[in-house]
Amino acid sequence: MNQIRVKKIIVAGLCLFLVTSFQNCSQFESAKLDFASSSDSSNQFTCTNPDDLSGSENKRLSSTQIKNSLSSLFSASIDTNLQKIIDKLPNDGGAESFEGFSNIFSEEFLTAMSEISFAIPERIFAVTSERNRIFGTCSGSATITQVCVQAYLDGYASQVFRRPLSVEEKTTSLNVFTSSADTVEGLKNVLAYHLQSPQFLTLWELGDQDVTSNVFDLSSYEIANRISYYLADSPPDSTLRLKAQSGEILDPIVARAEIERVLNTTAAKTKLVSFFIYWLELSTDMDFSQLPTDVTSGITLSSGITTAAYDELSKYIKYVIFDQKGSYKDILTSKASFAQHSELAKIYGHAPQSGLTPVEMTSERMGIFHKLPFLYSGTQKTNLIKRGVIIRRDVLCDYLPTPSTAVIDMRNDEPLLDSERFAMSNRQVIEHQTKNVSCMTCHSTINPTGSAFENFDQLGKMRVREANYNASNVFIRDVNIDTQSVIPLWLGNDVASASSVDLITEISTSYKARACFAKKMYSYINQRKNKSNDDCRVNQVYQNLIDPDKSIYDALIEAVSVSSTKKRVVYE
Amino acid sequence: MSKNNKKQWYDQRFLGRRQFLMGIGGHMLMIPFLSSLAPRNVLAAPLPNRRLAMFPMEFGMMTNFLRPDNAIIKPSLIAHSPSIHYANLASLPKPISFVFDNTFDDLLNDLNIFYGLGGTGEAGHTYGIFNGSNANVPGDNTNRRPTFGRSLDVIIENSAQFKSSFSGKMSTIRPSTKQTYGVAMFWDRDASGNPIVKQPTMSDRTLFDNIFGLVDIAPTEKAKMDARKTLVADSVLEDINRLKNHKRISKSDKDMLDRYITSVNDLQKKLLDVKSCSKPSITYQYDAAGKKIASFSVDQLLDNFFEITTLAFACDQSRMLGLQNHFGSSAGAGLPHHFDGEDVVVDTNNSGITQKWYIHKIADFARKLKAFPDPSGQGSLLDHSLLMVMNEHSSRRAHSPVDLPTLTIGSLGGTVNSGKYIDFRQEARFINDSTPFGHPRKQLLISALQGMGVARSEYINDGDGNGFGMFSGAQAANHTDFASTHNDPLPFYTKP
Repeated sequence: MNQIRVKKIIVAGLCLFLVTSFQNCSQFESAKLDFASSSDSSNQFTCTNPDDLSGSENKRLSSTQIKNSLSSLFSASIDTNLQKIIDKLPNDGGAESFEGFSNIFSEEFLTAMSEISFAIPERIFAVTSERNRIFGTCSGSATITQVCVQAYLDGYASQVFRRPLSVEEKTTSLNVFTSSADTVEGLKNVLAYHLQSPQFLTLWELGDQDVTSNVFDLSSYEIANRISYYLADSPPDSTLRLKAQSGEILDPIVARAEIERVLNTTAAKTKLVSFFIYWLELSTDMDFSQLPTDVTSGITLSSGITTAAYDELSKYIKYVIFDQKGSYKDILTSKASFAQHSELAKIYGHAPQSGLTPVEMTSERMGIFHKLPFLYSGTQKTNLIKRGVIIRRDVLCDYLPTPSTAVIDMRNDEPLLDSERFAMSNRQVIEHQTKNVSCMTCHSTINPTGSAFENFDQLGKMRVREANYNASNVFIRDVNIDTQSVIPLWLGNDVASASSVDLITEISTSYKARACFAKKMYSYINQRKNKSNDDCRVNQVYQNLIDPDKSIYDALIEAVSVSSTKKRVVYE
Repeated sequence: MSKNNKKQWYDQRFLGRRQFLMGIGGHMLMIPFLSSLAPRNVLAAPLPNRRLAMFPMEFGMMTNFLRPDNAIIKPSLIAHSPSIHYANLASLPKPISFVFDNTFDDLLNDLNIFYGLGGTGEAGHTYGIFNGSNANVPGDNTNRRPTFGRSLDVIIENSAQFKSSFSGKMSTIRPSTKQTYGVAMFWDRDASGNPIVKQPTMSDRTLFDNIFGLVDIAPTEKAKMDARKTLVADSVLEDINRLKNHKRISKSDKDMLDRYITSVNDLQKKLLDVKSCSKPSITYQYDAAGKKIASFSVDQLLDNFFEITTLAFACDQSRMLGLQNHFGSSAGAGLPHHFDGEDVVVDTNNSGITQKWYIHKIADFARKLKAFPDPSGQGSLLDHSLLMVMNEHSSRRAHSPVDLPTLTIGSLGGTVNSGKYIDFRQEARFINDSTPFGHPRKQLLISALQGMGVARSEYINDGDGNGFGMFSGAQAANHTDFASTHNDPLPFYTKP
């Protein structure tokens, strides 16, 4: 790649507004990620006190976590009808992004939980083996005894609460039992109470030692919960529970081994794929119905293509991270494809993959950015701006403020005639729309970055010409594509890029992108925005990403390991 | 359903309207039975209940047709203050506009038409309209927490939907599953110009079942279930109280637990109220398998939504409605997303007809609420409700947030004035029709919130740090006069 250095010239006399805007767009999320080149290896995480902890509120389980917890606790009892009831839990955003997740126990949420909590015991009692497993054979009697209930409270109930029940909780449970209309209903009510309790619905971290301090040790159960929910959105399995019960999990070496074990479970791998979807803001509901027909020519599009694209992406991520123990560079540049779906394989330009071995993509296509979920656009045009924004904001952690209405309105300052628009490429139209200096404070970075991908159409197919259509999707004419740019990629230094292959290659080896990835990964695992005193721990993740002998897999283990610290601070 | 030729369904059910309403009132006296355990500041709202229905429109609404012509209105304006003028709608020549036709003639005392409300937030996009509800603005990861007050049905809830809307769809209000009524209608027009539904996110049958799922349970079973739920809820509250007394519980943890209690209280209240609701004899437009019926009618579907909402309001199963009218495509026939909102030929022949149809449907809904006595015995449902019709365009093809057309219907329990054309342009700063600076529209949303019983303390720290709704960037720049008052209710409109 040719790299040229172009010193930014701030034209004297620019008004204060523009200077301010430019600075806003040039600074990074939490600052200190000012890398001068891809090879600039300066450590920009501020770590003054490794023991400094970030407080965070106790969080209720997301709907996804509750569903996983219920599945873990009662999988053999969940039939189609019960699953329909469980699916009434509202989509609270917890599965896609912590940023959209609200910690509120909404009425809608509790309504669903109420129905679920009463439906589950009914179903358990309909499956004798399940009833015996959860409540013991004593629950088969016409009249269930308190001893039987006590056995449940001492046994399976601790899996529901993810820790042994307190004396008070057992007393309340027994009161529920004795206050019910009959003993069978009483036992059912006890479980319903446990499932509606905030003890089940929230990941409480209150420690178990009677020490009055704002900073306190997590209990062994709380550490086990962190490991399991951070990695897999699921409750601890039997192995982890035993290590919590014995206290072994308090040993950092044991904890690290458990993290690696849980990371290799199916649930953890599924959550890892979710991280990538969150990280790159990938569209999981792709709609191809508005695409012009010649974009889809030769491709038989069906609803299955979206599933196939995400199935392929999932296999790709797991292959690079788990099978190959790949690096950050590998996830961005690997040529492996698992596109088995014939139409997806056509899009990716290879024969359908089969078996366990990936097929190799063509030389112009590589890594996660050249797959359909990232390249997709459901409209007449490629989503050049979105592609650019994601690379800048999510991959490089550039700060891109939401444009003000005044700036957005400037897009239409000089509307184009149809005859002019039809003669222009998407890139040229966007450059025209955003040429105002106020727009360019951000679009000077977004446009050239997104333009590098213009040789991929809305479906992610390679293309050499770009078609223009009228409002009815009727083809008018085609125009040349230009993917070459001088991209202001690093602080004070621009990079000449012929296409997205150059751009991705440059990013994949950069320290800045890996620092950004460390921040994103740490944030996602902790399900909250990073704070300044997280820097020490984020740096530990980062060190794994820049170490040539380590992989994303190692960084993941490190990220969960440093996040499962024994200490917690009360959050106010 | 026509307002004149169809008998109201509540008269057709096996419970008479009188008996039906008495039942609700009787139960209301009994609730909430868990209130003694709830913190004082989260007890159920006082009677009568108030309701808010929001109708954001993603496509351009014809600004010119949503208010009286300037030539008509100007001689009628009465000065309230240097920056606020008004006219009584009843005194204006009819019809007020092409879109209104005569459909609001019997609702003029309930209607308000606003001029000079703007600056809603990010680009005037639909989600910008809801910046007042703390929606997450794309690109802004401040994790705003949307809430309309914890004692209400939370409707416009999840920021993730707003975020996904940025990548293509504009289904701003998240369709929900239970108790919550948030529906986005994606629709188009056929070759004859008739409205057709392309993708409603919820069928009328599903909506009813979600809201009134307990209606068909036998009374003995209901009683048994209620007893079980009460027992469990009481035990849950013991857990909550234990947690709240824990020395390592933080203020935010306590707040979360308080919200749990409030939701449980509201749920228990609903359990009692729903007993009095019976199934209406409406003709569902979707069958049990979720398919459209052979004689599917979008008119009937929308009527059904409004029938169900009316019942949900009356039975206090919901206090909020969000219905977004979304046009499915920018390029298809009918009404494009960025249509030329000031092209009279287009308006009257095409999009204007579509818009007129929808506005008339909303008027029918208001009429339905007005015909239904409030369960409190004080006036009609409409008297205690507020319908807000909003739009994200105000100028040609652009998401200009300047003077976004807004209508309200209802007086929200007498907390706001109605029957007015209200002009908020600040004449001292008035430049021309494309930049008529007026009050920030967030103040209208704040008026609605306060009318709904949400305390100022509940929204003042929300949003972008500037209180409920956005007040930064262009919003602040265009409304510098309101730097210290933008978190206040809208003057003149809001009653003291």
